Amino acid sequence: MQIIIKAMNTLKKSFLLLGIVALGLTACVHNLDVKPNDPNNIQNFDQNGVFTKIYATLATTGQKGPDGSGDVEGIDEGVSAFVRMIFELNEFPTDEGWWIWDGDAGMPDLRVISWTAVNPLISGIYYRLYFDISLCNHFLENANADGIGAAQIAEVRFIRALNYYYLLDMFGSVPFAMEVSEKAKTQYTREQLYSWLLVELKDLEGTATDAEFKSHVKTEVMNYDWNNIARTLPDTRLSDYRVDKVAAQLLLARLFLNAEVYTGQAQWDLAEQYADKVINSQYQLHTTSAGGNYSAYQELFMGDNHKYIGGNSGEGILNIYQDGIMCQCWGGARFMCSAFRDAGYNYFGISDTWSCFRTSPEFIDKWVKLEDARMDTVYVTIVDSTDRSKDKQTPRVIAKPQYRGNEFQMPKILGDDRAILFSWKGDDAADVLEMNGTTKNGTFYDCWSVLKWTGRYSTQPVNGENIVGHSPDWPDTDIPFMRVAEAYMTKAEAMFQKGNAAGALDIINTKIRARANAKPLATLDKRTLCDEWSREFYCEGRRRIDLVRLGFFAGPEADANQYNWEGRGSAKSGEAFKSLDKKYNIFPLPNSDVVVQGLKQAEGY
Amino acid sequence: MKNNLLSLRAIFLSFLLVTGMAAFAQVAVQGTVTDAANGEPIIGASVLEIGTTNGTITDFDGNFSLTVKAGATLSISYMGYKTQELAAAPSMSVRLGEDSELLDEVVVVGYGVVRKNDATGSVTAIKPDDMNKGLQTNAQDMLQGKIAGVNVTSDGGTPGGSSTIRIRGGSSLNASNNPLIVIDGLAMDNNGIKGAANPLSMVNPADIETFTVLKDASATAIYGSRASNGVIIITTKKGAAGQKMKVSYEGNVSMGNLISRLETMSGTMLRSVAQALNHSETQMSKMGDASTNWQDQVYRAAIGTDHNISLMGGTKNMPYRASIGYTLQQGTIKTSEMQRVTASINLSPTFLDKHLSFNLNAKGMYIYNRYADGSVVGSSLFMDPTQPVRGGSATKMYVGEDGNERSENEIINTWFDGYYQRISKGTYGDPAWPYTKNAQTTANPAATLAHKNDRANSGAFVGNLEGDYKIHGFEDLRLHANFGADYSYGKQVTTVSPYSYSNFYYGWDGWSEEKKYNLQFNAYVQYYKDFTEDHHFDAMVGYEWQHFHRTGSYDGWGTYPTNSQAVDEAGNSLAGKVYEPSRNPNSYMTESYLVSFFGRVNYVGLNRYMATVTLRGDGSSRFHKKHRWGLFPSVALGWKIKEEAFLKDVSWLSELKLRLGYGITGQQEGIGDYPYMTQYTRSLEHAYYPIGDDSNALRYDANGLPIYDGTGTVVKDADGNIVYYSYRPGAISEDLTWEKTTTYNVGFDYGFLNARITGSIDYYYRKTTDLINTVDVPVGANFRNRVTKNIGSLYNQGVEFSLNAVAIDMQRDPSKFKWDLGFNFTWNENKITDLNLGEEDSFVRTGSISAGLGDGYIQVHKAGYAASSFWYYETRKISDDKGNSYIYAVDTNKDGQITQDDRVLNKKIVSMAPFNFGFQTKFQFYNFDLSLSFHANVGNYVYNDVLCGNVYSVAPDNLYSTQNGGYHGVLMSAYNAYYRDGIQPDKMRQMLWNKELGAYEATKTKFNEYYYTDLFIEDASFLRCDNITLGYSFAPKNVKLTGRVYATVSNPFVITGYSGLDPEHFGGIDNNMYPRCMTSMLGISLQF
Repeated sequence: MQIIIKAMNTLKKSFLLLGIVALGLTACVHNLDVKPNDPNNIQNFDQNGVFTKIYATLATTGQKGPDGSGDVEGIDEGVSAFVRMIFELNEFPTDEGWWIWDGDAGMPDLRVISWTAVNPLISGIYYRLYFDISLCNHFLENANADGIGAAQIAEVRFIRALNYYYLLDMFGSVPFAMEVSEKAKTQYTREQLYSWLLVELKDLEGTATDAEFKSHVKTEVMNYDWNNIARTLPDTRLSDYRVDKVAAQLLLARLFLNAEVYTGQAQWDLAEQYADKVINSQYQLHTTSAGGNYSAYQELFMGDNHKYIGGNSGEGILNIYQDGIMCQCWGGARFMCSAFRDAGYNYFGISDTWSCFRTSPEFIDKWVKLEDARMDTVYVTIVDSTDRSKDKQTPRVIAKPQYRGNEFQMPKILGDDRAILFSWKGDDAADVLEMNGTTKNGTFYDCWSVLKWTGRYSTQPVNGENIVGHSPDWPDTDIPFMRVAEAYMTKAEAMFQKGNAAGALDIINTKIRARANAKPLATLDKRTLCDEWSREFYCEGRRRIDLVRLGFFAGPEADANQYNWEGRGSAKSGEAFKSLDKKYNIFPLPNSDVVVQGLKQAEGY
Repeated sequence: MKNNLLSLRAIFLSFLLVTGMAAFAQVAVQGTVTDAANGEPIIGASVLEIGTTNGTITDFDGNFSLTVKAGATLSISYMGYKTQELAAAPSMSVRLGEDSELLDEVVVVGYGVVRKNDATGSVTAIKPDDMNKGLQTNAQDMLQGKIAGVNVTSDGGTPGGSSTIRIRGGSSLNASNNPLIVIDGLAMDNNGIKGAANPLSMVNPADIETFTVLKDASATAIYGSRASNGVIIITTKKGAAGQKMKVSYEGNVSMGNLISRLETMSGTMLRSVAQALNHSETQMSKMGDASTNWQDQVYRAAIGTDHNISLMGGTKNMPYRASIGYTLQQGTIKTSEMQRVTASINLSPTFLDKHLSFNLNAKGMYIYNRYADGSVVGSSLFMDPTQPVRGGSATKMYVGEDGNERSENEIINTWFDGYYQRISKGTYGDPAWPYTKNAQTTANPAATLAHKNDRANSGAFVGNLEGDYKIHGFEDLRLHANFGADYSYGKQVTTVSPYSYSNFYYGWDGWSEEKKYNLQFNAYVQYYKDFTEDHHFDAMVGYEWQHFHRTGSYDGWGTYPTNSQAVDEAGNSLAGKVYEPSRNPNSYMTESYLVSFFGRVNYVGLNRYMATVTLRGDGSSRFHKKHRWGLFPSVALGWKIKEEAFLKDVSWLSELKLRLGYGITGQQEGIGDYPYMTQYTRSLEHAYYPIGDDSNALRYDANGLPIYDGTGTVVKDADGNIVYYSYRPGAISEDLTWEKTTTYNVGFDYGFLNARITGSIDYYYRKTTDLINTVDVPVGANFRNRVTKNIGSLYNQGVEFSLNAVAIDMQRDPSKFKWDLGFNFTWNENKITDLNLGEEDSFVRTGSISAGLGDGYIQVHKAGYAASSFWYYETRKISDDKGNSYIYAVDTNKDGQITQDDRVLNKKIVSMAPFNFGFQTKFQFYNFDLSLSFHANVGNYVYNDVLCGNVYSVAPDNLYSTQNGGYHGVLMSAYNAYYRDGIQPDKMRQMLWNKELGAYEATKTKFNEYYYTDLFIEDASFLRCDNITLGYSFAPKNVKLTGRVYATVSNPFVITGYSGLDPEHFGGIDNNMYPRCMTSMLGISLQF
C-alpha cells in the first residue's frame, strides 16, 4: 500500500511541477508577437521620409541606387523607372525610333504596335504609376498638415495627379483609389478621371470653388480640416526640384489640349488660356547659351543643366534630380545617355554605351528630306569589319557627304540647334542611314543616333574629354520633365486648331524655332505642326499623344492621313503599311489587374 | 485523464500485490554476468525480476544476488548487449552477447525512439557505411543514392560546397523545399552562414552514428510546421557505460583530378580556321603568337587530407565520447581551398539508479575557406588561345587617354600586373592610368585568380543538454527535457587588385559578416505501458519553443590607386582615398519564433496491429495573430501480416508488414520574418533626393558612414544640395498563413529467407495547398503589385522501392565470403494543379539562362505541368533544293508568325528526374573488402547553357569581333555543333503556317531567339559511379589493435548521353558549374 501512496505522491508532485513548467512555457507564446528590429526599417509613418520618397519615385527605382531594392515587381528594376517607362511607351511605337533588342520582353510588340494585355512593359508602367499613387494616398491618409505639412500635402496631391494624368492618357478608364485599401475600387471612365483631375489641379492652382472641391474630395479618408489648411501649391517653388502652381497650370494646359481625345469635347480656348498662364509665369525659355560652347537648347540636356532649368526663372517646371553619386538610376539620365550611344562615340561624361535606340528614317526626314540626305546604294569599305568579302553582299545606304557629322556638327549642318544627331564618324565606325534592315528591328547603325542627352557639362569645350561630372559612371543630368517650351507649343496648336494658323506659325517661328536658331517655317499645316512637336520634344517621352491627337496614330482617320512609318501596322520593313485598329490609341489594362480586380478592359482588347 | 491514469495504476499495483501474496514462495539467486565474447565480467548490468520493480545491478566482479519469487523470470540487460530473459535459478551464469543489431532495431522518430518493428511511418535509417564512404567532407555526401525517395545533388566541385536535398520531390514553389535537419534532437534552421553552406556542414561526418530519414507525414507530422519536405535526423556517436576506453583514428590523403574537361581549340588550330574562313589580314593581325590552354591555367590536381581521432568509453554511470578532426581540401580550381577543424564531446551520465539520465552534446567547428572566382570556368573557355598568359606584343601600339602611344607589352607590364589583357583607352581622367581593360572582352582567368583574394572564416557551436527522468516508483512515466543552442559566425573578406579586370583602377576591399544564434527548448512527458502481454500503449505530450536570430553587416569600397594623380575639386590628391560612389555599407537584423505543442499516442495490439496518432500545433511569429496557429494531425496504421496465423509458419517469409499513413505538415519558410507588418524601408546609398526636412537629412559619422540618430554631418552633393533619405512602406500580407501538405502513404516492409532479403515498397501522394506564392494584387490595395499569398496547389506522387540482400554469406568457411547488395528505386511525378493566375495560359517564368539579355528564362511553372518545366521553341532541320540545310523555328500555334506563344511545354521535358536509382554492393573475402556504389537518374533534361553561350560565337562572322578587339576561345563542342552538326544560330529561319495553303512553309525570315529552342535541351539521364573501395582489415595477435587500410576512387566515371561536361545539375541548367572531380584516396582506420 505504501508503494501506492508513494507513487501517488510522486505523481502529484510531478504533475504539479509539470504544471508550473507548462505555465512558464506558455508565457513564451507571447514571443510570437515579435517586433521587427532591423536597423534599416521603422514601423511608424515618417512624414518627411515618405514625402522624400514620393518625389524620389520620379528619379529612382527603389531604395538603393542604382538597383537592389526595387519598387515594382514583374519588370526589370532598371526598366521600371518612371522616366524610362514613360519614354519607352510613348516613343517606341512612334515615328521617332525604337529599341533594337528584340529579346527584351514586350519590345517587339511595342515597335510594330501589336501589343496585348499581357505585355510586360505596359504592365510595368501601370504598376509603376499605381505604386506612386498608393504612396501618395498613404501619405495623405497619415500626414499632419501643420507647419511644412500643408505645402507637402499640396505637392503630394500634385504628384498623385501627375500619375493619374498618365493613367488617363495611356489607359483611359482605370480603377480610382484615394486610399490604400483592399476595398473594391470604382473604375472611372476616362471622362470621370478627366473631370476629377480638372478639379484637383484647379484646386491646387487655387481656382476651384469650394463646392467643386467638396463634391470632389473623399473627406472620409482625409484626416484634415480642409477648410483650414492651405490647399494650393505655393506661388514659388520651395526648391529647384519641387513644384509650384505653374506645374498645375501646365498640366491643366496639357489636359485641355488633349481634351478632345480624353472626353470627345475639345477645349482649345482653355488650352490657350492655361498655356498663357505658364508663358506669363516666372519661368522662361532658356534662349541664350550661357557657356558659349553649346546652344541654349543643348544646355537643357547637359550634366550641369540644373543651372538652366532650375532657379526661379529657368525653363524647367518639373525637374527630376539625377546625380552621379547621390541619385543613380538605370532608367533616368544614365538611360538617356547610354542607350543612345555606341562604343567609339564622342565622350559624353561617362563611358558606358548600350547601343539600344535607333531612330527611324521618318525621324531623319523631319530635319532633312530623306531623299536629299540619302546616297544611293554604295559599298562601304569598313575597316575592321567582320568580313570584308561580305561588303558586296551587304550594300549600305549612307548619308551624302554633306550630311555626315557628329553631334557637334549636325546642328550646323541641318540648320537647327535641336538636331543633336550623329550620322558619321570618320575613322572606324561608319554610321549610315539605311532602310530595309535584314532583321526585324534592324541594328543600331541602321539609322542616325540621337545624342541630345549628355553627361557633358556646358562649361566643357566641345573637344574636352576630361571628367567634370560627379562620377565617371553616372551622369548628373537632371530631367526637365515639364518645361516652358510646352506652353508655347500648346498655345500655338490651340490657335491653329481654332483656325489661326498664322498666329500659331508666329509663335513657333519666333519662340520655338528662334531659340533653336532654326529658319522660320513658311507655312503650317497639321503635319508640319506635328513634326514641330517632335523636333522640339523628341526623346522626352511625349510623342505618342501628339500623333494620337493630331490624327496620325491609329484608326480610320489616321489611315486616311497617310502618314506611315516603319513599324506602323507592319511587322517587317518593306511590307505594305496596313491599317491600324483604333484601339491602339490607348493601351490595354494589364490582364493581371483586370482579372484580380474585375475591371472592364479597354474596347477592342 | 489524470484520475483515470491514477486509478488504473492503483488497480494494477493492487493486482500485483495480491498475486504476489498468493505465490508466496521465494528463491535466492546468486549469479555472474560476463561478456560472451571475452568472458570478462560486466559491471553494472541490470537484473530485474520481470513484472516487478524488484531488481539489482552487478558488482565490480559481475556478481549479483537477488531474492525473487519462485518461477520468476529475470531480465538481464546492459547497454550495447542483447537483453536475456532467463528463468530464475539459485545459481546463474549469464553470458551476454554484444548487440550489434541494436541500432537496426530501434529507429529514431520525432521526440523519442520506436522499435523498427513497430514503426508505422515511412522511416529509413541508415548507418554510414564505414567501408565505402569515399570523400566525405559534408554529411550530405553520405546520403547520395542510398535511400529511395531521397535525391541529393551537389552544387558542383567547390570544396566544402553544399548540396540540394529533395525528399519525395518538392512540396513548394516559392517557399523552401529543403528538408528539416535535426541533429541530436536539435532542429536546425535552414540557412547556412558565410563559409558554411548548410546545417549539415555543422557535423563532422566521422561523428555520425545514424541518419534517419522521415518521409511520410505520419512520421514527420510530429515536427509539424517545418516538416513538409521530410526530416533528416542525425544522431552522433556516444560512448557506452562500463566500456573500456577505445581510441580510434581515421585518416586519409586524397587527390582530386578533373578526368574530363571541355575541349577547346588550340591557338594553332584557331589560326588555321581563321585562314580557312578567309578572314582579313587586319583581323588576323590581332592574333597573338601563343597557343595557350587557358584551362591549364585554372585547374590543378587538388590535394586533400582528413584526420579524425576519437576516444570513447564509459565508467559505470558516465559514458563519454570525444573527437577531434582536421580536414584540408583543395579545390581543383587553383587558389580554392577549405580547412576545417572540428571537435565534439558527448557525455551521457545516469544517476539515481538509472532513473535520471543526461545526454550532453557539444560540437565546435572552425572553417577557413578561400573561394576562387567562379567566372574562370567560363573565361578559361572563352579566352583567346593565341594570346600569352603574361606579356603582350612589343609592336602593337595603343593610344592612351593622355594621347601617348605605348606598346601592348609595356602597357600590360605597367597597368595589368604583367597579365595579358585587351586594352582600351582610359576613362579615369588620371594621367597615371591612361589605359583600361577593354570591357567587351574576356578577363584573363590566370589574372582573375591571382588578383582576387576572397576568403571566409567561420565558426560554429552546437550544443544541447537532454535530461530524462523516470519517476521513482512510477517508472512508466518519463519526463524529458532538451535545451539546445547553436551559434555561428562567419566573415568573408574580399580583396581585388586594381590591376584586375573586374575592378580595374579602383580595386575593391569588402567584407561581410553574419552572426546567428538559434535557441531551442523542448520538453515532453511520456507514459509507456504494457497493459498485458498483448496490449502495449504509450502516450506523449510535449512543448517546444524555438528562437531564430540573425544579424549581419557588410561594407565595400574602391580606392584611388596609390600612384593616382587624380585630384578633387580643391586640387588635393585623391591617391589612396576611398572612391565614394562605389561604397555600399549596410547592416540587418531579423528574428523569428516558433512555439509548439504536440502529442502522440502509440498502440500495439497482439504484436500485430499498430496505430499511431499525432497532433501538433505550431505558432509562428511570421504570421498575423489571426492566422498564426497551424494544426498538423497524422494517423498511421500498421499490420504485421506475417504474425497472423496463416503466415506464421511460412518459413520463406520472415517479415511482412503493411503501413498506412495520413498526415498534414506545414511550411513557413521563404517569406521573410515580418510579412504581415507595415515596415518602412530606409533608402540606402545612391538613392537620395534633395527634398526633405532636417529630420531626414543624410548625415555621415566621422568615418563617412551614414548615421541616423541625428548626430553627424549633413551631407551635400557636389552642387551643394542637401540630400535626404526616404522611407518606403513595404507590402503587408496580413492574410498569409501556413502552406499545408497532405500526404497519403501505403507501404509494405518485407523480408525473405530469414531476413537475408529485406526491403520495402511505398506509394505516396502528397498534395500541397495554400501554396505560398507571390501573386498580382489589385492596384491601390497594397504597396507592392505582387504580394506573397496562399494561392495555388500542386502534388507529388511516387513509388519507392528498396531491396537489401545478403547474396552469399559463408560464415563458417575460412574465407568468410560475404556478398551484400542494396538497391533502391524511386519514381516521382510533380505537377502543379492550380496557380490561380487568372488566365488559363498564365505561368511564372523561372530558370534563368545567360542568353536573352538579362531576361532569359527557359522554364516556367504552369498548371498542368511539373514545376520548372522547359518552355521552348520547337525546331526542324530541312534541306533546301540546293542542298543547304537550315534549322527552322516552328510556328506551333499556326497564327502565321512566331511569337512567344509558339513556345511549348512537354510533360516529359522536365528538369527533375522522374526516375532515380541507387545501387550498392560489397564483397568481403578473408580480410579483404571491395565495395561499389552507384546512382542514376533517368528522364531528366538539362539546358546546355555552355553550348548555347558558345555556339553563336563560333559563327564565321563572330569568331572575330571588332568590339572586343580580336578573337576568342572556341569550345570544340560548339565548333562541332556549328560546322559539323549544322546548329547555326545566326542562320535560323522561321517555319510559318500558311493559312491559305493550310500547310507549313519554310520561310527565309530570320529567327533570332535561338537560345530558347529545343536545340539546347538534352536528355541528361546518367549513371554515376560514386565510389569504389578496396580495403584490408587487420588485427595483429600480439597488439591490442584492430584496423583497416583502404583505397577509394570517388566519382571515377559517369555514363550518359548528355553532350556537356556533367549531366547532373539541380534545376536542369548547365552553366559553367565548378566541375566535379574524380578523387583518389588512401586511408587507414585504427582502433585500440
